[in-house]
Amino acid sequence: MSEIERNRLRNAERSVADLLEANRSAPGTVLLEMLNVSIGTTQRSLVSDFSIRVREGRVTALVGASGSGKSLSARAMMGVLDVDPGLSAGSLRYPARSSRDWFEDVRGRGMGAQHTLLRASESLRGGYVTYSPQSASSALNPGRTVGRQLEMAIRRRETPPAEGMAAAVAQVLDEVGLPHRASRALVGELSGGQAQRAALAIAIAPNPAIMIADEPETGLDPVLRRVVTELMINVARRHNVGLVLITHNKDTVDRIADDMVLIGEDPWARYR
Amino acid sequence: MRRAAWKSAAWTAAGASILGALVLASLAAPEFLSRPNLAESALLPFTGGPILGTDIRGIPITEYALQGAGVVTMPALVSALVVAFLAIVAGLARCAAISWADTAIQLFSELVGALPRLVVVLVVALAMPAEWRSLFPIGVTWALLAAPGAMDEAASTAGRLGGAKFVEALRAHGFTATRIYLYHIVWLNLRGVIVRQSADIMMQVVFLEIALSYLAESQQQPSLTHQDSTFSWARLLYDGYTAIVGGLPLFHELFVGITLVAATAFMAQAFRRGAQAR
Repeated sequence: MSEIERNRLRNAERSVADLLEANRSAPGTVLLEMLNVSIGTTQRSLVSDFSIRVREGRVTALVGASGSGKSLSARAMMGVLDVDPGLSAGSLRYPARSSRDWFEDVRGRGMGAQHTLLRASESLRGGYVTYSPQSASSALNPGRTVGRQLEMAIRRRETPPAEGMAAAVAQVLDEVGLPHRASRALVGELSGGQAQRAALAIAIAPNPAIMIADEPETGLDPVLRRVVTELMINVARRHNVGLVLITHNKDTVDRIADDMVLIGEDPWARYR
Repeated sequence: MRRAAWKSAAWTAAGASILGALVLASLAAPEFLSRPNLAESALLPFTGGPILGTDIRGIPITEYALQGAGVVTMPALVSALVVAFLAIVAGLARCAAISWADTAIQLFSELVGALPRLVVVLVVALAMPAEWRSLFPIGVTWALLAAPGAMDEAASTAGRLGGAKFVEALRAHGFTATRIYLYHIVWLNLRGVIVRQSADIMMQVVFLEIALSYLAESQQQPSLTHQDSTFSWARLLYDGYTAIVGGLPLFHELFVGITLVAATAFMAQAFRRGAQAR
């Protein structure tokens, strides 16, 4: 029985409350800890008192209804805030690296402080934490071949690849099941599924500690959706990455999540 | 390097060589033509006397060619830069999701796009005092009037990238704002549009100058694009054509004029091809 299958059976017996509790108390090194975060505009609150912990080797599903602030929270986890006045409360730490609270000088200080945070946290993004956006086409640059984009991502590793750049690119392509010739292709020449695999390849190429995948199933047919999520989970487990998976999909959460974090209302409450 | 990249590099190099030659020619252009020498060197062919021969008054054809380059090169380059700048602004505004800038650009495009281009250019040319006559104001006006097309194309290319979402994804990859906007957006994705549109404008400004000067020559009027002491490539075309009609053997003058026009068109085409190929 595969690990994904075991997970599915285990999660089928667990309630949403169990999954939520797991995020608070699960074992393993905490890679990211964002606690009691509130973000809003002058007119309304966008995220209120939101907390999440991301642990090494675990899949944390971030679940919420449309417009509940999932993507905004995901960006906040990487230090990307661009809402005016923005962050009013909360803290962001990467305990595996340091005890620094990255939000310390940002809370209640508006756009200027958020821009300072954006610059200060540049070295973390694309290295310690990577992000795969909703649409693969947004993650990939249509003006560059997949291989060149992978090279840029590999260069962000803390230690350069000993086997050389070409071999490192080939290895990453193998991991996501893309043929080596894909490295010479432009994004427009890839199919939807291949583009999604290429986006995943770019997200894992820097050997990140944390990977945030923002609804990776968007725009894919049901078969491809399953293939992509299972590929993502396999790759994340192989590299012991803490994976944050933003999703609406209950089936995906049941199949692959170790923990769950709700943002806003429980989107599935009415179906129970 | 892949075949497509070689092709792109070859076309770009061809365009850049012609542009380089034009710039050098414009810098080497004599302020005044040589004094006519009817007795010794009038109507010399390619191989006799100065390179490219002389005209009916014994003045070397090269001097006309160099002066013509001096008249068109810098104004055409500046016009191309104006279009490139405006296209970059439109593309970046779309990616940065600055709604007021997008609205302002749309308003500018609608207003300017509604103006009759040739009429406005003629009004600008005629409004210039005689001592300020130059191709610069005409070229820049032409570029401003043609800019909405370039801006539209750049903005829609940036929109197809995903606009603000594309910037957001690159930010998440840890790139700095400068690298995102200048390298990933402008260099990697908008470059093709910008080069193609700028090359087109450059060619159009050169052809506009030739057309206006040819009209002035044929009407025996002072040119709207340069001082009376200098001559444009239109002089070669006009002299060559009228001499041939009049039965004089001035094929070489017409040939040089047509070659210069063809080289300008080829330069624009080479830049277009260079920007298209990957």
